[in-house]
Amino acid sequence: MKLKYTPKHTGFKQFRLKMKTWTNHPYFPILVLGFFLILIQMIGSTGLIRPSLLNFLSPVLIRYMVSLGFLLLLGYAGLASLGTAGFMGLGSYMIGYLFQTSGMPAELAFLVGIAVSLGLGVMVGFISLRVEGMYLAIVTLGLAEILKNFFTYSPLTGATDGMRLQFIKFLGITSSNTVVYNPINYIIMVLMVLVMIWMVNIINSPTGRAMLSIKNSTSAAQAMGISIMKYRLSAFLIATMLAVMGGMLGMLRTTTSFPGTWGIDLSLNVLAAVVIGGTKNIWGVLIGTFIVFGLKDLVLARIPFFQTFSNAHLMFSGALIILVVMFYPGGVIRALEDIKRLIIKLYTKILTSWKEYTYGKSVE
Amino acid sequence: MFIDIINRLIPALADAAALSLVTLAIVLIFRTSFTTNFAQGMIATAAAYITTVFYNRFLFIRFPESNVIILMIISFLSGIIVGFLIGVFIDVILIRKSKFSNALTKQMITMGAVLFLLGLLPTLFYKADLNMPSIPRFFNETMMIPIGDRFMVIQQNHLYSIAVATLCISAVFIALKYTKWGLGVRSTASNERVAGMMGVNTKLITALSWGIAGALGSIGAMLHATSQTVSAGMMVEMQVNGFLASILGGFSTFIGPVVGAIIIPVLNTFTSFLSQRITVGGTSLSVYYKVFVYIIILIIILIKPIGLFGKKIAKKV
Repeated sequence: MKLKYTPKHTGFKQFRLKMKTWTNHPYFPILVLGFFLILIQMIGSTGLIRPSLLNFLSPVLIRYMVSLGFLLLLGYAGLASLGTAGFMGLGSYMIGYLFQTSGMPAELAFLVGIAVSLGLGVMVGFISLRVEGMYLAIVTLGLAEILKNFFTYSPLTGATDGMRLQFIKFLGITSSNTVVYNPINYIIMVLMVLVMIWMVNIINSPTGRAMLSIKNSTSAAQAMGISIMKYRLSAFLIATMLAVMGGMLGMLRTTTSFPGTWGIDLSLNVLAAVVIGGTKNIWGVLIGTFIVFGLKDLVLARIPFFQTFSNAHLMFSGALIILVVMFYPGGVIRALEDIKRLIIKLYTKILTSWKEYTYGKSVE
Repeated sequence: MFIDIINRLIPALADAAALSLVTLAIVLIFRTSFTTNFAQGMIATAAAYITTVFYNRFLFIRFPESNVIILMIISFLSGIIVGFLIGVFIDVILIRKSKFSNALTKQMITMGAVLFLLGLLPTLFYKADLNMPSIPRFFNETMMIPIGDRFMVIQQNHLYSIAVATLCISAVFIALKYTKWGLGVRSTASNERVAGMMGVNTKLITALSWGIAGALGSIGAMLHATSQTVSAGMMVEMQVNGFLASILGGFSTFIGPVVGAIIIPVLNTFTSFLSQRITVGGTSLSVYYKVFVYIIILIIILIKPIGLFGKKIAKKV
């Protein structure tokens, strides 16, 4: 028997091969992103980076986490919910109330918040998804409106004055809105990385594929033995949970909450972030979140027109939703892929024409 | 007791008048376009803005000595036309030209339209020092009718709202029954493709339905705005209630949602009346009366998912 020759890579080449298996892993870019975010925060807290940049970053990351839940709901289960802002508000008020008035430790309040979100999600999801997927948007819109009503008038939430905490202590970190470099940002970043990894796992698992099949054809999925109710409900539960978690993290960071923040425009902006970025890709949603929430703070806030008209930026994201849905349903991430393909095509074309110019055309 | 009920019922019915117009518009679009129009409230808000700005900032200032009633009718008509045009625009330009079209993408286009108008309206009609004044009223007096030793208090404006809404809704129902457009709507609602094969111009029917829905919603907003200031978020609650009324009555009929739209404000009044009298832990429950209404509606949907008047529709795969 003749042994087959296998090339033995040594030294640098072996290292490169090993690196390639690492870098091709779906977790790799997520961990790199998390590493850089934490690095920025660490460098920033020594005073090298202006606090305004760091304070801009963490709300966008929180909204990104919420958008990831919405991505699963919209892109994979094919459902739309308009209760996102209501759930976020619920989370923020709940952790504030439990910490301030009940004297519960914030960690326990966090867990209670997640439990409440799951209970509420099961109730609303079960009732509305029993009939048709379309009902979910209506019932959650109603719920959001009721919750906003509750925040605005109830004595429990501080009504129109909003809720203000002196400080909040979470996992040994004391946070308040007077701290310039808030160390709670580390927790937000770590949680964001975990949520991203979780999302990648769900998307690539049988659950994600079942959800996708339901989105493409309900009847076909049902015929294949996929329980529609189960997968739609679980997508909605995950979206609800992440929204409530986002609200709680926001409260942990700013320690203030006002009823005006949790209006329908926030829910629609989350939808805009997912639609603009591309409804099937977590990196697309990251870009979308930065376009919708980041651009407002970084770029639009400097333009005098948008300073006078504080609502005008909504026009921008509304028009983007309509344009993307009409002409480019893949979103920004699809556009980037198309541009990449175009560049490669252009490059090969230029290369062949250059070769033809120097060596002459090949005769066949 | 009887007078108390009447005194509370007539404002509730005035609310129901505006709500039923919005609900009918939502159902009209749902039946012809097979999508839930989230922009219904914002279209109506845009129309209300146009009306009030046109009247207060233009007509009232330019023609101070002409008849107020005529000026009001002109401004109302301009608002209704704007509502009609926005409705047609969303269907003809935005939905029909989009690359893929299903219920979800249509829903998202209407949500985008909500966001766009939510940003556009306060920007377009911006006055830092002035709150937008409310829409003018035709009738502004309060009638006091003595019955026994008590008074029945009726605002003329409420009666006017109820009359206008009844007129509009009956006009729409007569049109649905007897006109060519109504026949087209009914056939499109039952099956769009077959209706198209039978020679019904479904595109025209759909566009007209969007336009009429926009106009109906605008009338609803104008009735609603006689009792509050015009602002970008004024129709959000109306929109939510319109959807809930449609679910409550059942999307599959035209009359069901209108009945649902009458039930919800009456239920609102009833729960608010009851919750004022109940206190838990020192605070009155009157703050939460809308929560109770919402829970009651959810329970009804849980028991009867197709709505009170809904018919079960068999779907082919």
